[in-house]
Amino acid sequence: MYSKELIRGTLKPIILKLLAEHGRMYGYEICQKVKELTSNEIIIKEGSLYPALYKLKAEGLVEVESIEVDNRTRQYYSLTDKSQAMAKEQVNEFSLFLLTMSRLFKVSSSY
Amino acid sequence: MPLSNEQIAYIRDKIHQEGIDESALLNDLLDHICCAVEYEMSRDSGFESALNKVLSDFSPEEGLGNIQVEITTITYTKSITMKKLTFVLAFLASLLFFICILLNGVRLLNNYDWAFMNDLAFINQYAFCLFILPLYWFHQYKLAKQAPNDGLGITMKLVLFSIGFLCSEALANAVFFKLMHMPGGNQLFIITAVLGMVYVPLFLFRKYRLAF
Repeated sequence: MYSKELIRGTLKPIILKLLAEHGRMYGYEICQKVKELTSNEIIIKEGSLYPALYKLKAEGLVEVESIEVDNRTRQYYSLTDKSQAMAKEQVNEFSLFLLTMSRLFKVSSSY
Repeated sequence: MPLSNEQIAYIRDKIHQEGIDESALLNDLLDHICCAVEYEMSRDSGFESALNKVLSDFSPEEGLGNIQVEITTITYTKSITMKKLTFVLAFLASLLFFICILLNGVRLLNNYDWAFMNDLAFINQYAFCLFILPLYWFHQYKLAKQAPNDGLGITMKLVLFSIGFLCSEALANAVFFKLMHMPGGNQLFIITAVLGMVYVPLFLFRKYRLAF
């Protein structure tokens, strides 16, 4: 399992990518999906997830839809129309960053 | 199996006790915890043990209140300029207040019959009562809301800090009325004493609960 600091830095592109792929998701679903896709390597804690989601909301990148489910209110998060392209751009940028990092660390490990 | 209304209400109360009062976050956390509890219960756990397990896994070192603090900071980032302006105004008002007290202390206000001194004293009093004191008490209340282990609920904290605020207002005005030889100073001292007798025990009870 990776450290909290490392996960915090990558949370935004993770959320954007999941929302771009699945349309709309709620908090618990996002945590479970990440856990499932990474075979429990990345576990997103609620204390990191919700501040990240609210930051995306404040930036206008995601919107919220409240739906009554099993006698409680579930808040679904989805990308706003204007943020679809921006999300794609940020995910691409992050993918390139990962490639660069992997190159860098391969070079370092050869020393 | 979905949780019953009573179980959901119980979890909502637990979240509330942690100092979460922002409705969107409350809904998010309630649904999140309910989903996790339902999952634990599907693995043959009872409700209480499932809830305890979920809550202990849930940001154990920081607590739920910390999530709200972080979200409040994010939500109000746009109003940082307003906050800075508020602090500058509070600083200027405080400075004016203490300069007036100093001038009064060295008897400068009494020795010179400056026409603006009376107006200055009133402006100073308005700034103190309408700006500095409300700001101070509101800040204390916000801090107290984030301290979940003081034995007081949100409503009780609101009552405590409202009484404290009114008590300090009454005292500030009582002193001012006496200094300016205006009628009503004694009555304001009585109001201060009555409010103080309610505020001090509650304040000490809270401090005791926080200390032990």
